[in-house]
Amino acid sequence: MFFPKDMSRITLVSHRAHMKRIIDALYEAKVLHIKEYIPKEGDYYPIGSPLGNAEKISELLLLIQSLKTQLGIKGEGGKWEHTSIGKAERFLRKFREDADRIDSEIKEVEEKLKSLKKRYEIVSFLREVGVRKFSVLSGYGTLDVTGGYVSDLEALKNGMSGIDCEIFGSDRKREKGYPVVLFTRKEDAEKVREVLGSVSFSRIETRMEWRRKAVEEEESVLKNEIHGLERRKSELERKLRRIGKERGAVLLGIEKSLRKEITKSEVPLKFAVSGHTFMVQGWVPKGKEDFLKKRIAGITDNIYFSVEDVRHGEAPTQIDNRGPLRPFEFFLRLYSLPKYKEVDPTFLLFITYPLIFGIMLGDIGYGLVLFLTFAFVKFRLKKLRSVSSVLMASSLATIIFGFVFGEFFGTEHILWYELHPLIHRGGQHMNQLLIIAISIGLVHVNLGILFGFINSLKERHYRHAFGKFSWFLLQTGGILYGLTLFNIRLLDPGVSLVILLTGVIGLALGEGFIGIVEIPTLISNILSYARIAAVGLASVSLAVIVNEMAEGMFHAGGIFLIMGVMLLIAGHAINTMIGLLDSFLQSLRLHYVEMFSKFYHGNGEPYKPFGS
Amino acid sequence: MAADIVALSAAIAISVSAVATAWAEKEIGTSAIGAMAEKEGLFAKGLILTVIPETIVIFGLVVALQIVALGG
Repeated sequence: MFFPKDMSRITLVSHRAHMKRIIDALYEAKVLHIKEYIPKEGDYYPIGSPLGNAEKISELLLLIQSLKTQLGIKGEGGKWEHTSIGKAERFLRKFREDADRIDSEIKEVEEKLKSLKKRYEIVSFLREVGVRKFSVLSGYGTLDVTGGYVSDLEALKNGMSGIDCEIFGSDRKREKGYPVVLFTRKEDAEKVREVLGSVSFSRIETRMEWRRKAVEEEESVLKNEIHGLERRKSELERKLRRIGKERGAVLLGIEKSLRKEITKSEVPLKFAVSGHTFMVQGWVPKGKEDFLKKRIAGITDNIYFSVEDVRHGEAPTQIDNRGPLRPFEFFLRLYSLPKYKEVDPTFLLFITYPLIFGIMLGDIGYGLVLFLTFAFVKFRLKKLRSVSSVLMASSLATIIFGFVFGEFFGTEHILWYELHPLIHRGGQHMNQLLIIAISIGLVHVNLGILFGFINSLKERHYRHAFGKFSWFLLQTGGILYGLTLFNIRLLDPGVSLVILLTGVIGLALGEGFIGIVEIPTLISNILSYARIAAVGLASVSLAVIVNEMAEGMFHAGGIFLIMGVMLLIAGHAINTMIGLLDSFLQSLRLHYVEMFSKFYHGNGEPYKPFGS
Repeated sequence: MAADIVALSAAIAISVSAVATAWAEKEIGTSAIGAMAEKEGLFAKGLILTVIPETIVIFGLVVALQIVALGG
């Protein structure tokens, strides 16, 4: 609870003939966090190479990936009964074949549809224009037939007035313009081109092979064909989706099992190997060493297995907290895990985070709303479980401080029950609250320094420990001396000055010149806690304003009654959200910045045992 | 007359610190969003870093309150 779990360092050496079975045993044991062997310049032994089936498994995983993308299969896998890689491969290849076949059929249909639709467009165009038979469009010796769209039908008619022509057109303007078909003499081609140019003519090619003679007949035939093909296309798409669904679960199961296999097959890359032997190094939590040893012992006698204590603080971090503390680990995962052997601040976060949050928000009504909201979120969204628990605890603290401050949605009474606040926020007790806030800061920061002191002792950095301790001396001396300025003589001012100076010197000795420079930082950090008093103030003011406005509306009566209720709901909802966000972030920031900077090293490597 | 000056000074105290905070958080926030575009997981850290300058405006608020209290 106070520190991450103790670890032991394991070294294992054996003959390469046993490597596969040892890997299986290690995987099943799920306790060894393997230290990757990274050979440097001049290191004699290389890393191992992956087991035989690694390449094939990688290939199959790639195939699975492409099938997943092609068919849009998502989700986590279920169980795949242990079967051979050969069987998995056969299943996957058949799956791929079937999927590809349907896919290419769909593409064929799409191509056909495209060309049919083009022809349909032309035929509709002809029908619009008024051409009834295809034979009309070609076979002339002296005439040109031109079909297309023009931007202005009247202008075309005017332009063509001097030229001998027949114009078939429709006055219904389409997207592309007015559809027209012109019959002109071949010798007038130049003039016709000129006129067409002036009306932004765009051509439609009408000379094609048509199957029927009449335009309308062709149109309806095409329409039916298009419908038929579209139906076929959706049928095929449905079929594809269906096999995706049917075989998707098996696919995901295979994927899961293959990923497991490949982890095992590739782990020799983390081993050091020689001609005939290999070596594995790693860590297990204290107490699990025998468990691991037993698992391996069964395989062969030719194993060198050594257990050591972790000497120089390099080990993975497994934080170890019980029940109600666990959700608060969320804050560490957000930031970074503690280094091995340093203090695990979760137990303190459990107390001080909700406390500071509660003082900042401090309203019974908001606390209740948040509590219920996060109880709901915790129940529904599994992923946000930790945060929800943390916020539920914080909401409880909020409710308690709501009673202390006498606030229920900004008012001082819950319907009929009169609240008796101990401290009037925003009123006459403002300064007292500030002092309380700064005192919390003093305690909190010093707890941080205390942890730093403990960490230094554990690491046997006695000089640093002395430096940390000097902070206490410094503060004691400083505060005592400061009190004498207010005529509170707890100790002779001379004595307090001596204590103060001892602290400063101790700091200089323990932490060097940087320590002295950090004295103003300490003052600023403690003052930073003044925000505890201030953050809630804005939310109180807002709540009071919302209430007063709503009250005004209630007095006006009539339609304003409803508006008042809406204003009440909207205003308090917004206030709750702002209050939640602000309190959450500021309380967190106080922990991360002001407190953690006094002791936390962080950047611990998370404990990830082989096999989990 | 005195009340006017008290009110004005309190207003200046909070508004200048608010501008300072907004400016600082703007710079940090922009970088945070840029970082988030590359890596979604940085959202939490980015958010916390962005809110760090909040101290400035809170101190401004405290000063404003003290001024009002002092001004009576």
